[in-house]
Amino acid sequence: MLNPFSLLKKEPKRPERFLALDLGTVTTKVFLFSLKDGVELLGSASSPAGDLAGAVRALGEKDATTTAREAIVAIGGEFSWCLTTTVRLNRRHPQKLIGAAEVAELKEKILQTAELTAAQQTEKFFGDGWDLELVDDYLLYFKVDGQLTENPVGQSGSTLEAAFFTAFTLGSYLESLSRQLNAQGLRLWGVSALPSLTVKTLIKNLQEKKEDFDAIILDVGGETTDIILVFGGGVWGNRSLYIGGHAFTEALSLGLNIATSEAEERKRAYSSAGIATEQSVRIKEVLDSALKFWLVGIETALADFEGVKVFPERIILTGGGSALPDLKTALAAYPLRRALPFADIPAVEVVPLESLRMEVLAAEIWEDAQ
Amino acid sequence: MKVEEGISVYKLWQRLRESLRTSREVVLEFSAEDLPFGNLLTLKVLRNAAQNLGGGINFKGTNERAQTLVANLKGESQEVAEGSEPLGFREGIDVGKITSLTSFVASPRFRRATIFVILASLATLIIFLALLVLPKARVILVIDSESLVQSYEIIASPSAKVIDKEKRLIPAVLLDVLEQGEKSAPTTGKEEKGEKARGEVTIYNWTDEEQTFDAGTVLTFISIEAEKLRFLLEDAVTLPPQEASVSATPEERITTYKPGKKTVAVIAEEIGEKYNLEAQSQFSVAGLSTDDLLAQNEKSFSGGKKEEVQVVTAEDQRRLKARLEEELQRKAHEDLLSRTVGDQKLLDSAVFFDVLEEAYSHQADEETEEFSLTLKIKARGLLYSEETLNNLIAELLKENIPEDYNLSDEDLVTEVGAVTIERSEGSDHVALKIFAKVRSAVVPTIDQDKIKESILGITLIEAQKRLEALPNVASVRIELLPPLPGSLRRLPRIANRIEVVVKRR
Repeated sequence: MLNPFSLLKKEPKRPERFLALDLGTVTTKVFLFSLKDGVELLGSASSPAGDLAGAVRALGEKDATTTAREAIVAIGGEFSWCLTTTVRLNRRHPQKLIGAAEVAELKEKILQTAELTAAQQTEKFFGDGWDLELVDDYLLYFKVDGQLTENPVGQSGSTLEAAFFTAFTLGSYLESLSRQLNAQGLRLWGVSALPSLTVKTLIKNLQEKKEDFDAIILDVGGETTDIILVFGGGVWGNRSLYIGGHAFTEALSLGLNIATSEAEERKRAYSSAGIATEQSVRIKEVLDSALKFWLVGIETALADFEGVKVFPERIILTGGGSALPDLKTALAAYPLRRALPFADIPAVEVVPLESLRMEVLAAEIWEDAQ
Repeated sequence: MKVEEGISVYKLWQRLRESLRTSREVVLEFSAEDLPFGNLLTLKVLRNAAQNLGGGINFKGTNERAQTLVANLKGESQEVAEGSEPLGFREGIDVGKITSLTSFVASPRFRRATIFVILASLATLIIFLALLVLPKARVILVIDSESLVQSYEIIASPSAKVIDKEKRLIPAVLLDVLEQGEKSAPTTGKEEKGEKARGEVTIYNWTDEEQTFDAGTVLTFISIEAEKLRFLLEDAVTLPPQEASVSATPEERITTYKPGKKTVAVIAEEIGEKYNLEAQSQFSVAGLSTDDLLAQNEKSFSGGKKEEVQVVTAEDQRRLKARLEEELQRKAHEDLLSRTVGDQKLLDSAVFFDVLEEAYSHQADEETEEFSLTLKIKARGLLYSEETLNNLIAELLKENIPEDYNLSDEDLVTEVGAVTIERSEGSDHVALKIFAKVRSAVVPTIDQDKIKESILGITLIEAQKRLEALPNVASVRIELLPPLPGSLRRLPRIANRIEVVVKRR
């Protein structure tokens, strides 16, 4: 995460309160945290996407003492480009002990390689290069002569390998974000990439060991489904598929010839199994083609990850849109192995995270502040 | 079919599906500015979904980015057809090699990066060149020197035209001047002048023999109180013996003797009035007994007189000559000095004099109250060039300088000690023998170029250490211009930006 405290060059004093913003494609969610005595979620509010002012206002109405001016933003997958970069160095003098400078140099090389790779990938993916801004990076592992090690400093070996996760965003997006916040009297205090935040939250929530966490995470939002490929607890790459929960709402609206708002309500009711069976059957039929389209999207997105030899056998559905139970069913039944290298049929599970991601984000801020 | 602004991907797919029912291929025009359609994945999904229905979509980009996406889509299809090779070294994780840099190079990001890199490189180069070229350093080395004292005997000769190191010979110039002068002085000698008294004496011979006395025989005035003055016979004289006559009576026989006698001229032994003895003065003759011989003057002696007069003494002459000579020599010396040019040196002891003519007005013992001297002298001076002498000495000194040392020009002091003139009798050869004592200092040879090379580009502290470790270096001071901070305090990297100043302690 782009450490807010690293931004606070002139203002090292941490704020007592701050806002965490999830600027979704359908909904804008605002969370108010306190840093007074540890991290505490004071409240949250949401508004339609793009209506940040409404969300902040709604938060203020809930808590009359809202005085936060600093805001952290979790940047969605459509504006994040995540990748894990591994670099292996063949050391000229294997007997020489690895020093901090050598490790720093390796990290520098990795970040440079990552930026180069991201630039190449985004250029191809978007038809134009992104003005990349690094928003997050963390170490996944070190290896000396192929052996995992916590800290290579002081060891000797022929090869030194490291893998770093990096998340980039558009520089222009950050500027636009800052302006939007300023307009609301807020200051962009820090940013985080939602894909990596999602992974961290899942690892924590599922109490998994980071290095053993391999999964395909499908974060189903409103307009998008973020496909996050994870190996060893690190985001190997992410893609944003513009088919999310709203697509199913549209399908229902078109299929049942109802207004979008009503379609949304029926979808929610269907998801919570609070709908009559016959309606549910009809809804299922209507959703089928949308699901198929979505599955083609998932498959296409997975195939877009170049160079993957074997995909993880675990698929985790999360996000607001994952509440639709048909997603899990359809995904579990879809022959992903037909065109993609899966060792076995992947297991699909649903793990809703709701506000947990923001809490994990706030906890990270608190740890950094210590 | 054209992508409507704001349409969702799902809705568009619905329309495409409808179109694909009637046509196996649909042309889809789109602009990449609409977010869902501004990425390759959306195009791929639509393409794959269409393919699943047995149809196809022909994408047409209406702007540059959209066209690039279409091209990328086609390129990827070709790669898939040709079979691209994934790389990697860990199961599940591959670090893909950059297979094409061209698209990366064409990106604005790359262009911005390139411009930045170029500008940064230029700035770095300028700063680097400035730091390389501009800094100057002045290294002041104070060196311990050792004294060197040497003595040399140098001959300065008019016959030498050039310096002869082997013979220790330097050219000299011989100059002469003539000086003449006259000087008077009072005499200091005193002499007694007078006449000797003369007269006659009758010498009575009371012996029975003839007595002969030569001229010059001494007659001594008989006196109890007065000085026993002496006189001299002017001529030789022979005196007859005495004659005896007897007149006898019976009562007595009286023998009467009658001396033999002669009158002779005498002269006083010395001058003076005291010799003018009165008549009837009696004298012994030749020291014999006056019973036998007795002289007596019948008349007073006369003519004896004595007076004191001034005369020239030899000492007077010597003194007068010395004074006049000194004067003339001084003048001659000044004249010689006035004729020196440049660095020509004329030592006092390099001038010699010859007296050509001397004439006294009065000879020694000549009576006079004052006398004079006329003197003519010739003064000759040997001049030599001080620089020439120093040059020869410097050359000779080199032979005495220890290895790896140099002569310190600052302290070369040449003292000219004894100077003697060599002259050969019977010839005009003349030369000056100069005993020169040279005091100098020698300093270790400092190879400035080597020193500069050894301190190029290193830190100030390291340079200080290296220089202080050199032999005979007493102290080191390094001045840097401009005064740079911290780790930039290094000696320049170009040798001619370093000035090495060597000072002797």
